[in-house]
Amino acid sequence: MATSSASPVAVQVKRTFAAPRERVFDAWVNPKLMALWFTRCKNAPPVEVVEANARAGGKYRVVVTDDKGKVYRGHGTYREVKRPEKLVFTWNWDHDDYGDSVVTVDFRAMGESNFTEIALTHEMLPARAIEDHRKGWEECYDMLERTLAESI
Amino acid sequence: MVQYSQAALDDVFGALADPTRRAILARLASGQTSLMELAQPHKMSLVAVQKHVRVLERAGLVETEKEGRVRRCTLQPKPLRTAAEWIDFYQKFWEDQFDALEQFIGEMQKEDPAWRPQPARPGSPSKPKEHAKPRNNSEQLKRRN
Repeated sequence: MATSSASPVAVQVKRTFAAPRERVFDAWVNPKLMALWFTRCKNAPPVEVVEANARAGGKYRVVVTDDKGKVYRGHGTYREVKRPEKLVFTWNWDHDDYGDSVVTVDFRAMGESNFTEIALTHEMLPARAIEDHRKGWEECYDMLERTLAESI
Repeated sequence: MVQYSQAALDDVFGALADPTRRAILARLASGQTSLMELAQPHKMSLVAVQKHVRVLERAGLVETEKEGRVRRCTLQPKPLRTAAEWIDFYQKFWEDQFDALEQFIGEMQKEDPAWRPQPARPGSPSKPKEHAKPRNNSEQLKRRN
């Protein structure tokens, strides 16, 4: 699997939205807008955005209630906020034990149409995985895929 | 989502970080083998391979068992499954987020034209797209009205 990612465990999602880039970017950092969609469960009330201090080093905290009333808490720190192009933040659910992961969101204006393409990468970053091992993850992915194909 | 300790994940990724160990795992993925056989393709001493296998053992990726004079190594894919579970979970999570964002944008567009894409009109002066300054809503509304 070809990837430029430095982490052995990463997810990439890309989609084009029919809206101008500034608006789409603001939907990710403006607490009032975030509350209406970000981490919101289907058929559930808006998310409580406790804080969203969108500048490098600033924090965000969300309290999510699902459609059955169960509450989840998420939090993280903004690493890079470059309106309207790029957003990097750490991600953490309080209820799991995966530790910090990092989400990078790139916003690309699509020429004349004024559409916005979002390319999102979410990387799991356990302390030792980010020690200077930038090469060879393709092998690792291949091995992982093969192993899983055989073991599941 | 499966619970898994950060320390255990660190061990797994520490183990995966080395190309020789990844090669050993790839070899074991095609079946159980002895330490001696593992050492062959790497032109390494048995001791060196043993060290790598011990790291993999500690991470829970490999189990070894002595059979007479031979030590058999077997792949234990469970820790890898945890990583795969993480990937599955967040792949779905972000797809769902994008669905929610799409729906949210649709709602905003009903109320506020500033959320609608505005293709350049024929004959209108072209502006540099990458460096266009963000305009606020009221300005855009004025332009449209």
